[in-house]
Amino acid sequence: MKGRRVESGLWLAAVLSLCAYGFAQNRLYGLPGAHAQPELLISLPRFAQVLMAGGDRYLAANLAGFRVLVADTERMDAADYAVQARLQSDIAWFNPVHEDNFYIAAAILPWNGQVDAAQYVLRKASEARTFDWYPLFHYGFLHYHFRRDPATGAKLLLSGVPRATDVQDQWALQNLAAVWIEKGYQTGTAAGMVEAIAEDSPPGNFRRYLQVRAARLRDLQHLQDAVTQYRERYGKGVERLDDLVTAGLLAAIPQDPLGYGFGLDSSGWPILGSSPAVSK
Amino acid sequence: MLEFMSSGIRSGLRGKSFQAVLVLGVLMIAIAYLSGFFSPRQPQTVALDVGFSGVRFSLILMNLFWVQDLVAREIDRRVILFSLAYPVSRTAFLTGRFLAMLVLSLLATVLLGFLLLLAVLLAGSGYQQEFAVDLGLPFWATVAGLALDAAVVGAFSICVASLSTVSVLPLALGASFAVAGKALGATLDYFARGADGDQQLLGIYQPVIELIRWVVPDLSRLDWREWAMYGLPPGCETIFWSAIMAWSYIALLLVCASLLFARREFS
Repeated sequence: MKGRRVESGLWLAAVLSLCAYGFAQNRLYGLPGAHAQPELLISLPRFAQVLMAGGDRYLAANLAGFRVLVADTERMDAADYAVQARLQSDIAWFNPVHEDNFYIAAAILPWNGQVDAAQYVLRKASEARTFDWYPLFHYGFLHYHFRRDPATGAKLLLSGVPRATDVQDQWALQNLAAVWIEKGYQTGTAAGMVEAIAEDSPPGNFRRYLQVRAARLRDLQHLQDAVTQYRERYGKGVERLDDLVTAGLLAAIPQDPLGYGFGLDSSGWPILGSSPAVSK
Repeated sequence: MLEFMSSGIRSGLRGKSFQAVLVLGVLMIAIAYLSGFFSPRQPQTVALDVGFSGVRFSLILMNLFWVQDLVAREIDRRVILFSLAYPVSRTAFLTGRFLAMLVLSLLATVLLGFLLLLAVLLAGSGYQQEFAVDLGLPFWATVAGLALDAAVVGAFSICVASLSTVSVLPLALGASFAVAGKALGATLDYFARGADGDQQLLGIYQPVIELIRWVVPDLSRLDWREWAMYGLPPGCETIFWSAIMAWSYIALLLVCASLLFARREFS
């Protein structure tokens, strides 16, 4: 009799637990989740990542790499990019030779405010991938475009020349380094390089992302060219970008595919907008 | 000793746990193949990288289960009394069991190696990556290094089994040893590079790590995958001394296990 009561109690407890679980799951499903991308929510300390990979640092690098690769760059915000930067720095520490890691870091991180992390990843890749000139090319471009330091960029390009096995590649690197040194920073050169990197990428979201970045730079170049013409014509700078349309130098202000728009710095020179609220 | 070895090979192949881990190993190779799809520029390299990690994981688990089946469980069930009733030394029993584990491990290594080879070839069939992986000597040398790594873990597990009264202890401690030995390289590297400038961490842990590295071998030294993946060979000297380190540590563990086992009393 007592045993039957206990068994009935256990069944009752099981049914109640199941109901509570189902109800909780149902309620949770309707509630908003965490703000950050789930795949980039957490960046564990490096040793924790190595231990979770059974002490295997290569596996730790790959596991972190998969998290970076499945992140949807079109829906990420600054906090997500900060986590991605930490993850990619960790991967560079676990396995600095990892090709995807330096490539993605170069293509995404500096464009989203993570220039230091990108520099770290590219430096580690340049040191470790002694057979490959690509990391030095991206490392040089980072100095050229984001640090506005063409001289250091050119020096890095030239240090990649002995690694290039193709003579055409060697000439291209030397030629580019010469252009950087002679002409300094130019938006059109930067746009051309991002277009070339996009062209070299496998088809898909990643290539489209780079093409958008290149198109933005190309639009910025057109704005800057128009401002130069405006100055030559009127002997003064523009106060608003719309002045270029009024003067007939542009049919319309380019539409920024990222929605951030373009703005003017304090000297009246066109710059990329860094937030959707940039005034024209 | 050869009797113990051949009986060990037979029962090792029959063991359910071995068969389960073999299935797990095959699954891991499949995961390695799929992981190649995550890589935009180096699918074969990523498949190979994940596959090497899977092979190591599987080989270590297999060796640990074999030690548990062939040594620890025999002690636990008192079956060992029949084995020790023969006029042979206890050292012969342990050495025979270790050799059985080694032969089984080599068979599993060759099998998983070929499966991984196939997975990598299939992973890269749709895309020509700029830096090709080397699936010749560097590949097999890496697989051999992983097998040696697993053999060290197996020897450690035998040493634990020789004095343990709980059959699951060799498995648990062996797995911990495998993780610690493999992570030691990353830890040493971290401290060698100044621990990100954390002087307090360096002050507290560096002396401990310096001591531990003499007790626990750096198993990451037996991982030569960069040779196959990126064409960066570890150097003959590194391979030679890594192998010497591993084999001498195995010998040391087996001698310790024999000494401990010889003094053990079975009631």
